[in-house]
Amino acid sequence: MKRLIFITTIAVIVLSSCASFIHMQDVNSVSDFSILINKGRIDTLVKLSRVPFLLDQEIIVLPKDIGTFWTNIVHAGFKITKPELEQGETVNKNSYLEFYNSMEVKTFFKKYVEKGARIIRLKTGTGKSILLIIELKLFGRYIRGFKGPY
Amino acid sequence: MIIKVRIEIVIGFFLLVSTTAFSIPSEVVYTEGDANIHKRNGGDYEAVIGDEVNTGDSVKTGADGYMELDRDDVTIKINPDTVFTLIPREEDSRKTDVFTLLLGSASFRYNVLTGREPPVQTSSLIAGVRGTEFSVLAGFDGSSVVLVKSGEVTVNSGGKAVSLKPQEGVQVNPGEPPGEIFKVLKGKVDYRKWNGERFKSFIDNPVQASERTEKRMAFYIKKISELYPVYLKNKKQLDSAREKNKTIKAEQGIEASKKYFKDITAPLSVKTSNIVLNIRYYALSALSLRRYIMGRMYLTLKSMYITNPGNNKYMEFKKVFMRTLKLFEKSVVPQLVEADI
Repeated sequence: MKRLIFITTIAVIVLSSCASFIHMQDVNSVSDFSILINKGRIDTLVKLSRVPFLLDQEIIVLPKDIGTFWTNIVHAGFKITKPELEQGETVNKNSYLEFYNSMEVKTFFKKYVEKGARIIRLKTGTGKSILLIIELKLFGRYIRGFKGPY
Repeated sequence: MIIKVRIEIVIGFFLLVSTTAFSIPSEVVYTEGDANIHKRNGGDYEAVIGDEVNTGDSVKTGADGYMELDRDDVTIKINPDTVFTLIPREEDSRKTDVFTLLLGSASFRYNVLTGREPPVQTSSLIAGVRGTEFSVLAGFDGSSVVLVKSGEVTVNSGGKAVSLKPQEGVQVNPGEPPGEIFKVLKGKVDYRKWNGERFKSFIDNPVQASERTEKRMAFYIKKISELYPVYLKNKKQLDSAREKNKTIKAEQGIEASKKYFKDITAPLSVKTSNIVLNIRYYALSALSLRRYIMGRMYLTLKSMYITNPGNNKYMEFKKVFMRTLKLFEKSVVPQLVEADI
């Protein structure tokens, strides 16, 4: 049993460092996120969101505000049509610039975004982009930030 | 560059001593539901009876949360959906914490009045305490209400002060003087209802609400810009006093150096650190306004108008919002450190 766990762990580590596997994860993140928005799955969006949360240039610190955010955008009728992965990259020291150039946002990435998180840019059918900060876990992923559509 | 590094060192030193040198911890004496303590140095945890809340720590209660804190001779009752923190400042050569209600509502009851009670502030007012029992409400749009049950409370905002007597209350909008004093009917002020009205008022006229927060931000920035040159002047004097002391030590010996330190350097050092403390007080108050009022306004309108970003009301709001943000970034951010974010 111990051997099986060991082999599985090694397999997961090897797989997760493989470029095509990471690309597949990014594609899945785009697809899953779009489905949640389009189907209005507010509860799941709230559960998958991490606080503090970055919205454009704003650091959101109250969990109930995350609920307000997803509820409002679903109730506003927001949909993501024809979602496509435009770009995916691992968070680096300049990632904050993709969101907003400020000391607050730079510190947010430094203090709160987990190492290895992905910055995913998805293109929508309207030609606009959405930026997501996705934190990857062994069995699942979390949303740490949202920017757009821009 | 050198000045900036030195200021950072002073702020760093201040952060180190501020949480230990003069803070009187508040003790959690009762808690129920979702009630958390956010420590100054990071980390949230669920509050339990006996926990301590120190300078720079925050208390956050959820929809079903409630907490009671005891500190010296004051009992603070923190109601549901509230964010409360302690920000240090110096006044009349005395360091004190300012009880800061960022959102929600809290009641204060003093068992003994000594004349040295810490003031209470929100995003729109500062209240000097001469009362034994009063409540403060802080709303979505940054406006506040003070309600006095017994004693007297002086409410300051927009350069004007009013005194409230028992069974009196006043509402204050950010950046404006206190409104008309009204009579408080016992049990007639419901925070949820009042905050619901403040939220509706924001949705109806987000530009006005945003302009009010801009005024309040300008107030904090004005205070910082008044204090900053005084800090630089004192720092310069302190640096030259330290240099002079080195010469005294070399030329007149250690006893003369000790005397110079005691008479000149030490008082200058205390004065300089007090100025830094007050600059930080205004900077942290501005950060609270940004985080708990401006940020929540932005989130609400952005999400409501996400399918219609060209809406006039939203565009006008965003214009004022971004203007205020630029002011904040230019004048407040240089006084903040990573630990504040």
